[in-house]
Amino acid sequence: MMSGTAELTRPRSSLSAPRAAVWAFAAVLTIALAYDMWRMPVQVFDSLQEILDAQASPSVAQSFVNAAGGGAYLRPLRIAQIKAVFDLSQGNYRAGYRGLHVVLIVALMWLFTRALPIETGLDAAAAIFALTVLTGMHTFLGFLREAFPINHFLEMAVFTLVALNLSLSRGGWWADALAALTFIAAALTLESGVLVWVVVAGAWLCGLRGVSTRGVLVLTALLVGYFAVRFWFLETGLPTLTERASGFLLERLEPDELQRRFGDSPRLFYAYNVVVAVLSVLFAEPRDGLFVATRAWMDGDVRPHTYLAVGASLAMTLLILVAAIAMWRRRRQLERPDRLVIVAAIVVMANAVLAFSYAKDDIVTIAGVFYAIAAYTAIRRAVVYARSGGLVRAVVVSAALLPLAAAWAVRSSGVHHVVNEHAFRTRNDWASLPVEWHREGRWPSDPRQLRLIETLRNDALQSPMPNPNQLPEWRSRWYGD
Amino acid sequence: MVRRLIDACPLLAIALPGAILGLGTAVLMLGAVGGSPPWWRVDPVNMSEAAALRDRATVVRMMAEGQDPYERHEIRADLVFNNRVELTAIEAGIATRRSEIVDVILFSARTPPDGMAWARLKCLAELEGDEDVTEVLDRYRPESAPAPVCDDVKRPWQ
Repeated sequence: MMSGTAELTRPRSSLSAPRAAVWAFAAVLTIALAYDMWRMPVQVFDSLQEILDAQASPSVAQSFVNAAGGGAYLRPLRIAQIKAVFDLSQGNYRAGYRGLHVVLIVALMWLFTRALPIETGLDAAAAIFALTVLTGMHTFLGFLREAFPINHFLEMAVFTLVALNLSLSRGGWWADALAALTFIAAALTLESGVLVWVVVAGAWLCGLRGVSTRGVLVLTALLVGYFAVRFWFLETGLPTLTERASGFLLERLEPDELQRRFGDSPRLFYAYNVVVAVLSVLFAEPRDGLFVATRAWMDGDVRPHTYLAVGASLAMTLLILVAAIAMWRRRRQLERPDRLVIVAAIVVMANAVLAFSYAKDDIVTIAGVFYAIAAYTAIRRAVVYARSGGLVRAVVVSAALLPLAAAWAVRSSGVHHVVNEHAFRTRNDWASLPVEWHREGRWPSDPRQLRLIETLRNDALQSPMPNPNQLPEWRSRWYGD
Repeated sequence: MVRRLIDACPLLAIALPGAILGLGTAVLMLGAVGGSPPWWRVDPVNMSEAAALRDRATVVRMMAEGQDPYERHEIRADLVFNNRVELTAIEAGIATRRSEIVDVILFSARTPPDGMAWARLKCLAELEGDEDVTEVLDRYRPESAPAPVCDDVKRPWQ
């Protein structure tokens, strides 16, 4: 166990020039992302039915109670939130759901930046780099592309960053209380919510004790209570192999095939999912359990964005590894950035374990956020190393770091292209909705439901959306889709 | 001097790409405040061009605004085809083998195509050889439609 010291917590200081520069950079990225989120229509798939259910529910409390029992999941607050936003939006559904998405993106960027120690120009440069890693990670797209109709993975990331910031704070009873409330809200929204406990406990072990020992004990008791309620009181099970398709090596397996191959011994499949979840975060390959870059390479059709993603992630992970080894060999008192790397490693592993039941990049979005925190420390260490030798070392290391930073900046700039692609598809989904639902016999006859669908559909159709098919091909070649 | 260079070089290497990204994004977002779309601008399209470019939503919106899906519009050269061509939105859907475009137009049209028009569309789909489009057209076959005779039908696109 590492000892906690006062200097590990956030100092109370004014807005220095380096910090102001980082906040300005973060603000620009955030505004651009918020703009993307605001103009994206509410999603049809996995979303419209949830909104229709919210409309049918008499109250938020009833939604919570109905969702609290049975099935393979315990996510009552997820359903209650959808209902709450529905009621609060007063008919402006897009403003409600897209507005919440914007708020969550702002919160994520703010909490991420706030968690980074920024005192000097070196810290600021490393933080700017870390922000491009955060927004350039393929897992970050999971925060933007989809919402059901709330992006709960994004919510979980915000909750874990709240927990990290509390651990980095000077602490007090309020930090303990907030940590407990954060855990309760997160765990009742999505299974990934238990990562709030992982962050707080991991940070405490690393000596980041803004949440006190008492606070960690309370959170641990809540975690035990969560498992007891879930598996003993409510007898909520775990997802089975038949619930959804999943990637496996080079192919996508449908539930029947998953059951046929792994029904007798699912442990192999679960182990595969955990391993590929880690690999996906560290190397941008595989994606959703599928070795897509490998398959593209075998087909002789590797696109530039694949080289960019895998190359940038591979180099970054190697740099983090080298920084971690150097940190280990130094054997000095760990500084706050070093401790953040350890917390990040714990969260990446824990998040991967939670992805055992099926492979999906969305599940490891939180790991992606903490990977970017580790990138902050690693790049900072690399600069310290470059500065500690002669001119030749500085030039050689700089020449190696520049393409890495450029690759992450390009990946980050591609986010807007991918989001626009998705928004375009979503808008088209709304156009075809009546055709498909009539054909499937799902088109409602209730006038209230029809009015709701009409409102959302008109809103989507009236949204101006650049057609990706009118854009130069280099965009999809370099940014993907 | 050398010391300053040693200090500045690695710092610039890691921060410069991000700074360029930040500045570029800021400029584009300022443009958005002035009403200019920040990431990319695309030329306005007519209904046939929207159909050819797989933009179902714009086609449906234009139809809801009262535009006629059976009216021919120019599709500019090099947008989809090498040469400029005049097609209806349904023909554009057939030409680009997009069954979902044909489906959504026929579903949303206030009036179905008459029998002769349907037969011609069916011929075009068969000439194009796309089974999905043919299947969609069969779904909307009007009762008055004659059996398609395709001998004199030629594709207006290349």
